Amino acid sequence: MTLASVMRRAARLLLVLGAISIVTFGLLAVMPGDPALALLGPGATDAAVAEVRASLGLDRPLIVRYGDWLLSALGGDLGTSYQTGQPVVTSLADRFPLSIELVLVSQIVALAVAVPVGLWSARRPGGIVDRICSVGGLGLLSLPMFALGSLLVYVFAVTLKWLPATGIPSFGDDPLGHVQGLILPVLSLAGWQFAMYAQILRGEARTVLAEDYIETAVLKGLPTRAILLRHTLKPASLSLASLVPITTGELIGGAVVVETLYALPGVGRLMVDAIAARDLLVLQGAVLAVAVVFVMLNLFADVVVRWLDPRIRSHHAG
Amino acid sequence: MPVEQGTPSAATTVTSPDPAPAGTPARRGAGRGLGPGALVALGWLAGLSVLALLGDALPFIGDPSRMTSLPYEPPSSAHPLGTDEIGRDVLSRVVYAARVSLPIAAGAVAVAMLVGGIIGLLTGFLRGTVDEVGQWLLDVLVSFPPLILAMAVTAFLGRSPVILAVILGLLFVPPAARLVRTHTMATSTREYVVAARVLGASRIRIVFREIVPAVVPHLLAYAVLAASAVIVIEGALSFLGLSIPPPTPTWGGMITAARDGLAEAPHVLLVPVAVLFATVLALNGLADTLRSRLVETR
Amino acid sequence: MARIHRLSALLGVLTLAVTGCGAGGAEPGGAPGATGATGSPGAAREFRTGLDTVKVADPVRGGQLVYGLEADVSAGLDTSKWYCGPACRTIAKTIYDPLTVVDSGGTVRPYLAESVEPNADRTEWTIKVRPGIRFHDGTPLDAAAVVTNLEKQRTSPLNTAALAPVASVTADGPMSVRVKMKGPSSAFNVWLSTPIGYIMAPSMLAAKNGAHNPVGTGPFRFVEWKAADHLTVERNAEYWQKGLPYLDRVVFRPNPDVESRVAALRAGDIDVMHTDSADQIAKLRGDTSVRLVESELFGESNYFQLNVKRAPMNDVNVRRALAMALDRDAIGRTRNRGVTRVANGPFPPGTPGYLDNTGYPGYDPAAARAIIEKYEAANGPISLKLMIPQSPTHAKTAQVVQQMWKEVGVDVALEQVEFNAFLERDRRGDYDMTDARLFGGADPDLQRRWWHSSGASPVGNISDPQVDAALDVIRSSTDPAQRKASAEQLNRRLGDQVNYLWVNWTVWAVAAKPDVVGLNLQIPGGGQAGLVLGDHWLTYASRKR
Repeated sequence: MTLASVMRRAARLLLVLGAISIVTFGLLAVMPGDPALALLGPGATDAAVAEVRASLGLDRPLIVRYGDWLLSALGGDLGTSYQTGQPVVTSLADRFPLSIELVLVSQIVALAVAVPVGLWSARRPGGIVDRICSVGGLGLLSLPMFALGSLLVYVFAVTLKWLPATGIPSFGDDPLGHVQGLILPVLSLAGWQFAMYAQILRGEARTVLAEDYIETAVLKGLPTRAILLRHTLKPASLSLASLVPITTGELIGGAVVVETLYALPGVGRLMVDAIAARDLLVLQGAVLAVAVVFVMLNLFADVVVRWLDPRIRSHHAG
Repeated sequence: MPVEQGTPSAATTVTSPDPAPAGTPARRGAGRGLGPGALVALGWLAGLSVLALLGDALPFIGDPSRMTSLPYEPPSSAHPLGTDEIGRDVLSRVVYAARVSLPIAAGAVAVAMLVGGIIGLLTGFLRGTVDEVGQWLLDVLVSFPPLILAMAVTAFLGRSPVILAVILGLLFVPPAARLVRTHTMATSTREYVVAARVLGASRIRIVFREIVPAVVPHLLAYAVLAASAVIVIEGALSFLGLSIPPPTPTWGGMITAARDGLAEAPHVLLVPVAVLFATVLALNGLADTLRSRLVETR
Repeated sequence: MARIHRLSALLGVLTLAVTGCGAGGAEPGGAPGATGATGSPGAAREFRTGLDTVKVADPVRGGQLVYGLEADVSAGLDTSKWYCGPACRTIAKTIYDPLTVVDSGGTVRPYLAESVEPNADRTEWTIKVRPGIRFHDGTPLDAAAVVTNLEKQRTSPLNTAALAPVASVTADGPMSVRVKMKGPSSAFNVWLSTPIGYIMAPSMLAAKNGAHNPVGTGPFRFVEWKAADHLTVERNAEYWQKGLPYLDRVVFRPNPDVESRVAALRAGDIDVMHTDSADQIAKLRGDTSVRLVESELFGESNYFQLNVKRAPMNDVNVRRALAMALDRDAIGRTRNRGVTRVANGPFPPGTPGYLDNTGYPGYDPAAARAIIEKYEAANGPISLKLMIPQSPTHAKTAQVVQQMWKEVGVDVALEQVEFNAFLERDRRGDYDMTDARLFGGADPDLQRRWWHSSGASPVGNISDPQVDAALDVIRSSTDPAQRKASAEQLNRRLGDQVNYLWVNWTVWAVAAKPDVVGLNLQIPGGGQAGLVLGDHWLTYASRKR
């Protein structure tokens, strides 16, 4: 990748972050509600609300507050939380590792199952494997995450008591417990992803398998395994390569259901709590951090797509 | 690094409709007519729509908001599918819910596929500045937490089915756009497209005659999955109180509301899940059929 | 009384001297080891606690308890700074001791204070500080520390309403504090059992991040807090109640989802939790692997609040019709799974002011329909909006009452509002009707800020000279009988005016693993007014050998 394209990417990232920060700031400010109410609880008097707003600096005009925040953000200081008084950067550092671990592991699990299943289903459309996998996959897709999660908890935690129902101890404190704690949340997340990926891959692989060169390979007597893995997987992965990074990014901040179900301190809950408390700077920080991850993932996706289909180049790009 | 052995596109030409040799698996089932599977699928969707439209003109179907019995009653002659968490008839609710859930799903998917499709086509075909701007827009859209979007939009614009369809549709714009962009880029480099370009075909002609037909099958598969996802996510929104206000039933809403009684009355969850499942299966079957025909006629 | 109360008679923990009609009875048979009044007296240790006399049978020293809570304490544990809800209070009371506690009969007892006594006309209160107690950081508890706390509370925006009657707080000797009131204030000692009376170390109040590094005199000392993950406290070896607590450590884990909390309890991730969800309590009642203690004593009321400043709710007849349309027995039976009892006012049995009959209108759909038809004939159709917080629980209840109102011809649309925005609109009075839960507590004086027309909070939405008069007597009278009579009068007035549509009294429950000994009815909640009754049961809890 040339220096120019790196610069261009960096500029785009900054533009993305700028736009997002303005939208987040603006939306949370115009939404009804008040950080002071979250701190004062029910029955707060007008005087108390005004006093707290002033102490948080909320009595200043929105544009001034944004400017203030922007200046310190450029210096690496994302401000402090209204709720905890902690630096936003600390909260993010606390929450992101778990979310990223959870999402990455579940994506790996989902893909590790979806790829063989999708390919194998495509080999004989309408065959028994295909039927079972597509019905099972669509069944998983019809089941909301909380239902799958509740089912897993009921079976493996409440009834069999093999795994914990909630919580993941840190790896340093308890490596085995950490892995055990990960299993159910990862399965709950991966179930849906697996079904989606397997369905997509199956469809794509069917299209590829209908191509002439595959027929040639079949006629040449190549083993099925080789046809599927060497000739089919790569060309059939274009859709997945476009979707997986986006889903990954969405899950980092969007796995609220799983984080709530398993009481995990992830980014999704951080954002939901920040919205509820109108903890603007925390939300702002989290949204921006997720955006950075997104832009990186999209970059990665572009690289993968080009590797999968080398003729896609940026030669049209200016 | 594996060698670029058998890069697929090389072999495809504009005209490759020769019948498949016996034993090539993928060609089976892509024959003439609709086939029994597709007919069953169409039948299910049509039947469901008719039921939903007729509503309480039918036997066993009543007011979906009325509490007619105790909560969590098992199926009985009065309530063929039992009653829900506050004693309403599950059958009536699941039928009426189709009136809301199906149009919302259709609307959201239409928004996602149209907007995402157009952005994907433009960015993937034109590249350059358009691509830069398009990617920027998508990065912004995708990084913005859907929950805030939903909260802000519903707070100001209300919660009509149209608004929900747009909100839910927006969630699927970025993936749809990325998908279309990738396939547009891949198709643009194929021989037949390059050939058409060399032969002086206009850009518009290339897009509509060559690229769109090649990209649509890929998008179609995703659209079906998105439809089921929309219905389930609507349930999550209704759990958060951001969807159609109760007591109007939706499948997603019914599924999430059934959570409290999961252990004692699983039917309250299973009925809407099963109906949703059957609908998704039907859509998927239709999409498969449509897709093989599109691929075949290309 | 049809309903059986299950209070703290579990596994050798006895609640003696139970008074009031809200308490009494034993665990209905079934739970292994539930001993009722027989206990195992040989090995029992007896404590005169704030609440009642508690016998703990054969307590075991050591071990830890994991407590699943419905919320994190992200704003910290400085009760003079930010609002301290039930989860916060559950933790706070392991670290701090309140100056007073209230027993189940409603009697206020000194706790961290040695005595809290008023002068004859209740214009001055003297707090004698218990001697020989040190905060966790080693600094002594003295009059100066108590003055620092009360001053901090008094100047906090949180308490402008609650502590408005206080004129001054001064040290009157090394271990004595004098609180001068602006007028007679006969329930000040009750206020000291709320978070206002939790005594924090002056060093903590002075520290910049004190809220997140709490220091008190309580049975446990703060160890660490990790946001959204856990908060740990460990045994205070120098606790002033010798021999207590039994547990080495308590780990509080925030888990906002009650279903998930119950699953965690059943799976053994947590040892104890509390809830006010009728759905969950109904389910836990059938679970023999879990110990359950329930209480509605001094609990909150669930009700719908009418905006009497808007038409048609400004017409008392319409308000009555809306009340008569609600079949509260059916709501209790179906929506609340038979867990809760029908409320007829803000005071549940056991609270001063409770009445068997407050005059609040009963279920009468025909009469309701007649009133509505008459009103609509004169004024046009009624169409209302019920504002509820965005939660499945509220949506469920709201759909039930919506149908009941529909039966009598009132169309009510449900308006789900995100909680923070809900609080704001509630404050501004921007609603027709809301779903609410408030008014718990052992003394009616605690409700003054909601109901008195001079009260600072607009949330109560009442302006009624008769209510004001009753509240003034409750605040100033020195005669318990007269105070009680005023509270009853207040209750009747609310029943007559129907500003609130009472539904049920909140039942709180603590659920624990069978080996947790010492469950008691000092359950958090007990009123948004900030009352946690009694001392913390974790002080006496232990794990069975």
